[in-house]
Amino acid sequence: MENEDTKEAVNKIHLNDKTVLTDDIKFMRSVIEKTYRVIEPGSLLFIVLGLIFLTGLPVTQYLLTTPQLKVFTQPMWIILWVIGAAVGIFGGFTSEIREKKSGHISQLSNQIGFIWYILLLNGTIWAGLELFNISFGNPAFLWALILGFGLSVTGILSSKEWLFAGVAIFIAILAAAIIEHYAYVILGIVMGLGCIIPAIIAKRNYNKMEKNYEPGK
Amino acid sequence: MNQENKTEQKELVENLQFMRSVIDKTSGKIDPGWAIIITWGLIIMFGFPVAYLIKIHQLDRWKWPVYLLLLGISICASIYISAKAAMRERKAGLISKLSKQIYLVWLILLANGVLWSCLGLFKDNIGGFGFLWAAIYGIAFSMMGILYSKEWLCGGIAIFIGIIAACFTESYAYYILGIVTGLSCVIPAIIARRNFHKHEQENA
Repeated sequence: MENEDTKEAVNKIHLNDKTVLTDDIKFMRSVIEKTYRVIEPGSLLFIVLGLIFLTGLPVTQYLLTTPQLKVFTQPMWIILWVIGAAVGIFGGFTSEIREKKSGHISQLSNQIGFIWYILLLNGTIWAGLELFNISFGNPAFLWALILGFGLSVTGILSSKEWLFAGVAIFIAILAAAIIEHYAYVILGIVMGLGCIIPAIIAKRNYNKMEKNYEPGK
Repeated sequence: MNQENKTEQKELVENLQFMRSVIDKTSGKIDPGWAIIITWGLIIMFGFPVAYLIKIHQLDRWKWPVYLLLLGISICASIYISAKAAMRERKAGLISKLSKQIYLVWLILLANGVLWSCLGLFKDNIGGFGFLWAAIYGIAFSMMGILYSKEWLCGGIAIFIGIIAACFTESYAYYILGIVTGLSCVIPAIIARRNFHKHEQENA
């Protein structure tokens, strides 16, 4: 009789454990689903950056090869960077508000944000100190390198389409170094498309996930 | 239907990988690869001043033998230590997602460094690749700091400051870069190893 009672008690404990375990897993799953759902790829910023590279670098090539227009190179890049920085700040700000609104700050998006912040800071300082001025004495190759690193690491941490873009940029640097006359055109096209194509794919995947997301399921 | 199942399975695997990385991080199970980084740190501390002396004394015939010797020692040590670490991980039945990510980050950065050095791209004002390599180490340590633990981030920031200081003192640039980059390898590696040991003892 006593043995049967003990068995029943043990069964109850196991049953309770299973319920707790199932609840725990459900909770973890919901947190993870929420995390995955919330990571917004920041497509707008990357598309704007891509358009800046796609137009800015080939125009730079033209300006540098036309002596009377060479003086316009720096002002043009200042305007383009101001546009890029404004969109970056606005995009970052709105996505942070959206994350806060949903009550969740994703660790992964924080990490990716920090990595980009460090890379951009490094790039700005080195460009300012005129380190690594190769070819035309302009930091375009340095920015290609920084963008390549950033996209590759985003690809490693987040999703693979960014990694392919990073690898494409490294190949473009190589090609641009060999075909110097078209260096900026090559860098512009590859850097531009390297930002735009993965951004569109990531945005499409994100929208799909958002559409299929059913809270509580 | 089949496609849906595949997507679900993929999501499940991703979820498990994410959970695994969080667990790895909190339980301190990842071996930081301290031996490789200390070896690289010592080689950098020695190699940078030697590269500078070769450059200013125009000892060009010594350039490649010295570089290849240092690179050969580093690569052999790295392969040996990595193989041992991989065996240890397999033996423990643990293939960590976080250590894989860190390994991939290093692989991409080092592949870039080697390629650009061989092709002669990204030469600095002194005409060498000291700044490029310091920058690569700085970025790699910063990323390790963000992904793994903070002592590496301090190393990355120290290299970043070292690069700025080296820019303004051109005649001592490679000495500064050598010392800062070397110590930024050695000190965080020792701290990380100590923390790893502590965790292992606690979990024993």
